[in-house]
Amino acid sequence: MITLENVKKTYGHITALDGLTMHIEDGAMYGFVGPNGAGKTTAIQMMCGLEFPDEGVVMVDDMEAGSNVRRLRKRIGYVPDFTGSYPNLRIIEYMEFFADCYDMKDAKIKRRIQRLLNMVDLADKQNQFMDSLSRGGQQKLSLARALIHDPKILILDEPTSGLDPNTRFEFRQIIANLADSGKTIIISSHILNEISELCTDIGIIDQGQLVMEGKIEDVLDQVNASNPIIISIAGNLSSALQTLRGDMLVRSVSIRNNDLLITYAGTAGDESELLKKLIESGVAVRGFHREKGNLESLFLQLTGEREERRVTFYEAESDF
Amino acid sequence: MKLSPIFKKDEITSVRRFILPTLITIVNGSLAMLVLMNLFYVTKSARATGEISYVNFLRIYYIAAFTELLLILLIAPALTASSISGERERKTLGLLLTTQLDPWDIVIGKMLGALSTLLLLVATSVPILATVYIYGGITLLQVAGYFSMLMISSVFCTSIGIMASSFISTTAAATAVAYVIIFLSYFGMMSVVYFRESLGISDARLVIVSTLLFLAVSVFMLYISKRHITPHRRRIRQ
Repeated sequence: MITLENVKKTYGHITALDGLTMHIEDGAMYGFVGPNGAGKTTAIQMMCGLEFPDEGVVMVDDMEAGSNVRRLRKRIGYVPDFTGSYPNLRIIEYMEFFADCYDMKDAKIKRRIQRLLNMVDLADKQNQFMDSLSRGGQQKLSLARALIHDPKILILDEPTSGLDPNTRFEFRQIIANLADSGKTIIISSHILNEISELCTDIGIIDQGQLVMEGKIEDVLDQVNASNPIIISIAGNLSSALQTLRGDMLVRSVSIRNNDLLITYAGTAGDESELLKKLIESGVAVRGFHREKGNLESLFLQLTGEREERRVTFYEAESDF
Repeated sequence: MKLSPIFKKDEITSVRRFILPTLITIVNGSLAMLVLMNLFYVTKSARATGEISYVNFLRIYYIAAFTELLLILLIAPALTASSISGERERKTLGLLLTTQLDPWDIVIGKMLGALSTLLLLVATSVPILATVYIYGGITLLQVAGYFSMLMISSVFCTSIGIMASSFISTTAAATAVAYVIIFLSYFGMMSVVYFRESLGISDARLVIVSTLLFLAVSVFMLYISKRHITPHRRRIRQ
């Protein structure tokens, strides 16, 4: 389990993390989302022991990140948003070098390297120099390198940024397969569709603070709950409007084409009661469903709200 | 004994670059030119005067030895000033620090890589310096002393280069800083050598003290380099 408790970090006058608290369960596929400069990379580097918080604690399993370094590093594989390549090394030599850096010397290592290169579809290019690889190839090699010591936790920082759709799809497939092997995977990404398809958990960070965290279904349910219910009706709308006006939980009603869009504050049980009432009052209901929300709308809503608050705050400050 | 992974990696990459054969050619070419020119001068003068001056043969050795030291002082910082900053520029330093490698392994591996290149330069120049044995006049002890001094200078200069490289993010600036520090250090040492009699320092004492001082400074430089690249908790002023 990875835990960050009230973590603060500043670089000069810039606050990167401002009391960040987050919890990542073992075996979770955690999507770490936030706008540019929100503090994602700083938080990730702290988990890897490359940065230390000014205040607060970062714990990886039973160890404080940065202490007990060698044991901790054995558990973590890190894929940064750049490849970090040695142009004069061949792909196979690059993998052997990192195996050596993890003190892996046994005969099995050659087989493991071959398995990893097969996994990322680079086995046939293993004798090529690293600079001959495309951006996608380099990023896949970076993933294979991070897995060389079979880490329990895999941290990927914007792994698919700058990749073409095909490579991005391949990359996603590889990560999905890795999740099945029981590893804890943390992915920071801007591509929200990718996160909602891949991840089991999500944390949204903005201005160095976590603004939402939870299981991805729960988060999407919360988004859905704030979306309108769409009622498709065959025929006259007037009796439907009359029934809806009589319901205290209906906050607003609008008409789109021949559908009614209502803002409804009730629970799922209340929703079925409303549907029953509509049918009993003779309304020909063709459809009744809540509009689906997506991660993107939630992300924009959350980060936009904060941006709005910040602008208001600055405006209020400038009045003085 | 386990070889440092950094050293092995640097060896593989350095033999693939054009710089190593170029360095060997330049260093040995210049030394050979000097020795041959001097031999030619000695022979020509012997033909003209009918006298052979053995002092001139010794001069060949001194000139070649001094030139080689000068070349080592020039090459060592150039070899090491990109060692850490190069990893930083390629963004591989962070990756190395997430592995099981200790920052000491990185610093020592880098130093061994540079020293092996310098050792190769010194070893390949031995036949040129050995020309002095055609006529004699230099003892084996003096030759051993000279090669020890070359090795100590190599260790000192590479440690300065690594220190500059770990503190300064760009390779060009690190190289410049390393050259300045090395120039000032050798200028200081030469001044002491020059004024040793007026300062009342014996030759033996000078050799021992300067050797120990150079080695101690080298270890200190490597230590602060290691400390600088190690991720550490920042001290907050209360």
